[in-house]
Amino acid sequence: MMKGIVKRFPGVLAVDHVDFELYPKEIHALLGENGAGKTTLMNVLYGVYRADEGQILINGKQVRIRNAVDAQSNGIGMVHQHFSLIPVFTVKENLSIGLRDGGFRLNLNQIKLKIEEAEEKYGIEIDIDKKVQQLSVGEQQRVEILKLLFRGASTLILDEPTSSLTPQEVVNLFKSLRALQSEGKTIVIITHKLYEALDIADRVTVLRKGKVVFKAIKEGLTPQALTEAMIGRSVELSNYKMEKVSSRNSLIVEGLSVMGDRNEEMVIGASLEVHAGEILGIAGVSGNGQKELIESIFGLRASKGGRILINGHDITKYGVKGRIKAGLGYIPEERKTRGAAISLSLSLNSVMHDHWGQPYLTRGAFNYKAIRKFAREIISSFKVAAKDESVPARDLSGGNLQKFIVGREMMRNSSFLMSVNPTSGLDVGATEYVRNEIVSYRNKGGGVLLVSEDLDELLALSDRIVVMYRGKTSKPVERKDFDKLKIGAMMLGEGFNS
Amino acid sequence: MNIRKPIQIIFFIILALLISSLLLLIDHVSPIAGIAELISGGFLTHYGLVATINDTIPLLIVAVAIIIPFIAKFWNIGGQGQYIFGSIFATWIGLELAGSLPGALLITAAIIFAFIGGALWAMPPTLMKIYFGTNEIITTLMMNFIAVYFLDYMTIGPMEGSIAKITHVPSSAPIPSPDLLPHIGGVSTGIFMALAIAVIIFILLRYTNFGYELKLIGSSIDAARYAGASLRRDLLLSMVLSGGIAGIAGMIQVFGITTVLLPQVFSDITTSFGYVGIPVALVASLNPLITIISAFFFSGVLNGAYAMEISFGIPIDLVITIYGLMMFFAVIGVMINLGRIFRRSGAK
Ligand SMILES: Nc1ncnc2c1ncn2[C@@H]1O[C@H](COP(=O)(O)OP(=O)(O)OP(=O)(O)O)[C@@H](O)[C@H]1O
Ligand SMILES: [Mg+2]
Repeated sequence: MMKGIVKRFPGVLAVDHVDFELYPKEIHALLGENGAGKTTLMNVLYGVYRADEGQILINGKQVRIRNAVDAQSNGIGMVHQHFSLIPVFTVKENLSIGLRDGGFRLNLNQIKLKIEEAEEKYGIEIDIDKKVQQLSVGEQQRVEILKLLFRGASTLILDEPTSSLTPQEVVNLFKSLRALQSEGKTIVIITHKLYEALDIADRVTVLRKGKVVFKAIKEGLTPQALTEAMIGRSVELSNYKMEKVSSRNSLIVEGLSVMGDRNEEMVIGASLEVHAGEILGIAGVSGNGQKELIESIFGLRASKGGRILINGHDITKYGVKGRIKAGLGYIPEERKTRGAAISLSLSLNSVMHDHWGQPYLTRGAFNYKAIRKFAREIISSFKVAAKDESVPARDLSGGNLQKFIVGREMMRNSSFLMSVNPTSGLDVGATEYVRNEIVSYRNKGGGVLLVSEDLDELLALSDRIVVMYRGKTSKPVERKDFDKLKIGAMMLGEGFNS
Repeated sequence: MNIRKPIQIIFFIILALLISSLLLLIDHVSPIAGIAELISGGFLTHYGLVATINDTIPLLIVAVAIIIPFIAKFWNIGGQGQYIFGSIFATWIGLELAGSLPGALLITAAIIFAFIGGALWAMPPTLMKIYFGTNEIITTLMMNFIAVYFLDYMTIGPMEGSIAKITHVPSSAPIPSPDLLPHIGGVSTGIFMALAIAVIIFILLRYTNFGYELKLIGSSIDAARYAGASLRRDLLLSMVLSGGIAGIAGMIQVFGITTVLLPQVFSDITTSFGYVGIPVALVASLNPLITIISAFFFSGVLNGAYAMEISFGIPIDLVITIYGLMMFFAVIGVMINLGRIFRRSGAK
């Protein structure tokens, strides 16, 4: 348990006298708005940060946790939102790092045995000879969990483990977590998805502005009660007002083929058309070519065949900059490595897609006044919790960084916006806000290509939905024909002739 | 740059001075007198100050040159080779054209050639990085070794001066004196060029799109691509500038100080500005304006060390050891976070 924990950052009181108890063999959900201090609190427990005040007790005995090694020797392990695996190593090699078995090097065969044991016990399946860079996010997460188990963790902390998983992967993860629980492990899970918390957790703790505002066991809890505890009010899920926009502008993708990282064709003759003033949703189980499609449209990945047109203008041969200038915007899923340069200030991050022209570059020189003004506008409009625009992007909480990136892409001038899981990692309030912004972008005549793993989100926001399966695109489904079951079946391949 | 780093640098420099005091004691020199001599000999006496400023010139220029690719985390360790090639090109054009061009034009030509020489020498590692992904740390370093021996060859071969034939110390013929950079009170006018270069590169990095893209690349390559930066162009340009500017340092050194091409100068570690420039740039947190201070400071320490050698008869190797210690500790000062370490050990 943690008692009276306080953690300050320059100008921010991130965790404010928090008492947090964890009972053996429980699954405990830690909830709270973006920037509430969840990650910071757990980082204190894992030794990433040292608390300014307060103590950590294990079985009534005070312990000092100064770094991750201390945490591990106390049986505590944490999977961060961004993994720490080495991409060019195989799973086996990654698992062997930091493991020692008497001698200096651990026999890789022993690891294999251990992995097989883990597979049986917890249902964690993994191909250990694959390189990590070839694994999906869900598989990488499994490797991270295995790594902790191998190091003898009895308490596992998972920071937003489900935010980039497919629904099926979430089901699998929860199965494994329950198996781990019955093996005697204690688990903390940070999440923004209330129904997940209610599904998996035995108890919940809610943080708000660094303080504990709510603790309860699961029995009798409702999502409404949790939402109120989190943000102090209930959130009305809005009915999005889709206005009719007449414009003949469009983003057209014709017969696009794209190679993936593993040198196989990930997008196979995909075609779609986004009109100005509409939201075109792309549904699909992740790994069916959505990532490659989006990257290729933006110019980050070469295409093998096909054409991309904006307003009738062929942009297939353009670089990223040319496509941005032609009117494209993009909210990527990888917020810390792609959507932001985390060592640079928010000001510099605010002009990632406008740094070559007015008003930010005047006569060849950066106009810092204009740049800072724009950054401040993003911060205030999207309620980004940040001290000011001069802080490096890495100081923001995960959700706040996402809000900043979404804000930047929404507030700059563009005619088409590609958005991949825009609300992942956002709290309920922020999710509502971002969805409303996407709709108003559409109502103002912008076209949106929305990729999301959350089918409900797609059904709520899209005018039409295209399903991707094994690199191919379906015919668009009109909003009046939306049927969750039917689209779900298409996501599993129905209607695609292979 | 926050307040933490300067404080840490000062702290570590004091630590280096304490260790140096021990070394001085072992050599039977009073540490207080020794350090007083170090300070006055490097910064306070007229002779020392002039020497310090003259040493600051190439050190500052090369350090600033290195900063440009370093911002993008492209580790150009090849400043030394680029500096050498700048001096070879500058000397060659200087000897070819001396007398046929008026002084100012000749100096301009020498600057241009020095830039070209340095930039050319920076190209093989850069192009190999761009097209084959080779590790630039290794390749730029290797290019230095080649440059050193190539310079040796030039000064005993094609560019050998008549004096060298007699003294058997490899060197080129001297640049005729009216064509050299003038001195004011002993200080080479190259200092103005050095300061101008530092200011220009500061502005370039802070206010241009190119500088911005280098920062993006240094932060995350994927983010830079997402932001529409042209990675290849930026890398190439950063190395053309880096090599070229390091080359200009070579020109200023020959035309302002040595007047001949002297390989000795390039193999002695204290005057190997291409290497020494790296810690000087790091201590300044890769900020060209702060580099003016750090280059001046370390040049002063070097000359102060020489003054100690002369005043107390301390062996040269010991005073250079002290110089090295100062630099080593200053770099540690920027690289670690003392506060964190104190808090950790204090809690035990
Ligand atoms: N390294 C840091 N430096 C300065 N401020 C920080 C740092 N890390 C976090 N903060 C601040 O502390 C507060 C809490 O951040 P934390 O990451 O714990 O939030 P969180 O609850 O995990 O939010 P999210 O749901 O968005 O991930 C935020 O205001 C954040 O800006
Ligand atoms: Mg967080």
